[in-house]
Amino acid sequence: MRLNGVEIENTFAEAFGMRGTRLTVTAINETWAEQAALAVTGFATSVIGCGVEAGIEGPSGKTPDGRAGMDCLFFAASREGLESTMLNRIGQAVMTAPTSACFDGGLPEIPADSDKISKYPIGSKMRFFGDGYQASKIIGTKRYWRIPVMDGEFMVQEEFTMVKAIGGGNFLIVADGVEAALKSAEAAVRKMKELRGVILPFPGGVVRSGSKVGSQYKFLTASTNVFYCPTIRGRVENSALNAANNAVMEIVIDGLTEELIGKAMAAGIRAAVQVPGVQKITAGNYGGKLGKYHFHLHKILAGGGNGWES
Amino acid sequence: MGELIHLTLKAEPALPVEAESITPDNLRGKNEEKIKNLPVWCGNAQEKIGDYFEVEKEQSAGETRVVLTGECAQFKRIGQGMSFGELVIEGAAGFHTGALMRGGSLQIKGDAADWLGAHMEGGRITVAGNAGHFVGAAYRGKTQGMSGGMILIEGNAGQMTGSRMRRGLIAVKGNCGDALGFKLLAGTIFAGGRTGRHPGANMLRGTIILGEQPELLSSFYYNCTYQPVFWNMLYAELAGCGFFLLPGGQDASFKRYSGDALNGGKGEILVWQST
Repeated sequence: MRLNGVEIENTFAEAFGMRGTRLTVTAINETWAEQAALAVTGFATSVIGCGVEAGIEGPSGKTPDGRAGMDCLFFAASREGLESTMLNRIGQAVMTAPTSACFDGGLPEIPADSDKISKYPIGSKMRFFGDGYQASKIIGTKRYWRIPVMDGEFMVQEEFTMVKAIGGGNFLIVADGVEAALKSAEAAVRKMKELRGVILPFPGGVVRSGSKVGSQYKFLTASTNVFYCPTIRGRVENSALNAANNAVMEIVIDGLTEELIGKAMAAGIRAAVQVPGVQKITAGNYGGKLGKYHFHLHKILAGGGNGWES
Repeated sequence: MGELIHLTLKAEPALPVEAESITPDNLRGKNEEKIKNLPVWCGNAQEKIGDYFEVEKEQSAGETRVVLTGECAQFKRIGQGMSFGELVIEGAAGFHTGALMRGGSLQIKGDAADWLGAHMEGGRITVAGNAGHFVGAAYRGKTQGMSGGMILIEGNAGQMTGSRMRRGLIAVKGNCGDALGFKLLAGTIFAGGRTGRHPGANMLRGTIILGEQPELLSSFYYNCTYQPVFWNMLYAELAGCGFFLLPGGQDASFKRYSGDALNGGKGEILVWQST
């Protein structure tokens, strides 16, 4: 299959089940809402080393307190892992941001009665920071905690929502050089960031150090993806590159549903192939043996909505 | 398919009538004859709804809706314990209206007498006129009053509004009498106008929000002036119910007082500051 003259390899991205959640971080103005969002989503590129993958979706359409807000998505490997990391991150990165408040961003993409949805406690644990001076307030049907801080009160919702989500959707851009690969990746990222419900957790949405499972060193569980490293192409048996391929960029996608990831991948690939110098689009997988979710490039680009299967 | 049940008052009774049988729960699914035969009490005499009201019933969309037309100030306990549906009183309502209410919507287009929503657990009561004493309060000998739901009063309310309230929201646009939120356990009370003596006396926790600076007991102490984030949310919640609080609204600042120091000092009184 070719798109704008670029080969789309007949392969699939292999993704995994994760737990996802959305925060809405608000503050007195957009600047401080953004500061809080940047802090709470910082150092969260890969569960391998960060324990969580996170990204900012964008400004909140409507916030619970009517102030400026940002929506952020987080994905972790387990329920316990997500709960633990959210407690730490909200405590250290949102509560510390001036004038901030933190709310459950909800998951409107998922039917409310879905068994994939569950609640987990945040405010009810964070409240102890108030050292006995905290107070709760029920508004509508939801409980919030008010923790006294030096600029007033930090308000945080008692419970947040998590969903069984998907992490590790991906595609790789193979190009004739770094400039083309990067421009292509940037174009893809711009297009994919228009979508809600997905994040691209790596720096600027792009990862240049793709990894493979395992290593020749026993103490490492993951190591560089030698099959896509152009500088060692001649030394690596079964390299995925040819002599004309001089750079590869990968885009990793986490999303709340398979459909959202499939749509994001399709939008990203279509944007990526518009850049001159792009030679091939492919995807990372483990032979289909590890990940539950498979996103076939040809199928998702056919646009039928059946490009993803689990 | 829902039901629309009209109860039209024939004549205002001279004596009080205990009418706790008038709830959507109780009237649902009954034909006009059965509704007319439901009991009410006048003194020690058991009478019937049909003795006081014309009854008409029709099918309608939505939930069960009961509309009472006439001045019902002599009828006590209307809507007591109701759990769903809509109950509309097109005039005044008597004592204990909506007491022990658990859900649904109760609208009073006139004034409400004492003990409105006493021990209420859920749902929403709206009053277009004034309310009497002990709104959402605890009955004598009980330690906890209202424990959920919302009471919205466009006019004034009497003494001891929200006394011993445990949870929920009471909002009064106008003035309130003495001892607003007396022994408040938790929850939120808003009074937009003047308040009588000793607001928040002996309150344990909870929030009293006032539109005008009251004379506070000496067991309340000033903390700071600030913009609580939850105010924006409360404002929006009530605006969504068509109940708009203080002019100038959402971005208001408040003086915050803690008290009652005689009972732990964990409660708060917020006093709106005009800009």
